[in-house]
Amino acid sequence: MILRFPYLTEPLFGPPAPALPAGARSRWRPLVSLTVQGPNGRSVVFGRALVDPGADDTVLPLDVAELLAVPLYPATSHSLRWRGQHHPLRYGQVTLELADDEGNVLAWPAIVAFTTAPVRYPLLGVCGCLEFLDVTFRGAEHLIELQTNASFPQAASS
Amino acid sequence: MTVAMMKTYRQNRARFPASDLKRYDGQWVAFSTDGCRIVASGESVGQVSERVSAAREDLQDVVLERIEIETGDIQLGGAELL
Repeated sequence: MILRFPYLTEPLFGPPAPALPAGARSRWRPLVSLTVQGPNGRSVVFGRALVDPGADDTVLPLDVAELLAVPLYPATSHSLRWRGQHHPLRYGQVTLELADDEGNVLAWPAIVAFTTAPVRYPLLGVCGCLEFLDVTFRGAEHLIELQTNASFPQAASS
Repeated sequence: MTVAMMKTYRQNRARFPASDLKRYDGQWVAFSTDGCRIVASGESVGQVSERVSAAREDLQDVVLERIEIETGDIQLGGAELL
């Protein structure tokens, strides 16, 4: 199964950087909508999560763990640095769900990191997400394709 | 949210006036599922959740986004976590 998402735009309120076309008024980014389900049966929907092969983990705001009653693993020494400050990471298992406009849906259990750092987008990183998917960034078309691979948790696919 | 609702959300959200988002710079906002209005906003997801409830809406019936007005900074993705 292949899910396709068009890149989404973020408006620019200043002059475009030289790397952008002259007169550009927005940036295109590989952002997808993401549903996070917790063990309490509740879910939270993020309109924009960043598909980011440069992120080691899948990272969500810590508040989400509380809202979804996610049992957190015992605290570890792992943390992330955000704008010069260390923020401890807590880990827990949720169900992640992606759905494209054609009705294709993928859902799988994932161990994700929760942080108090005010990251702009939830990050769909390698662990918990991209390890299960083969991803194509179709830059010219501003389109991202995600296809399950052999590592995808089979019992959880929709 | 159903797939159809999410499609509608993405279409309408893309048309949401950028100028109307300026006041939410640095905040989390909860959009209605049709992407046409902002139900609540706050400094954190938890605060938005409380305000969504205060507005007699369900957190499961909104879509969360963090708004950051872009001027000169560029986004570095996960590299910003280094």
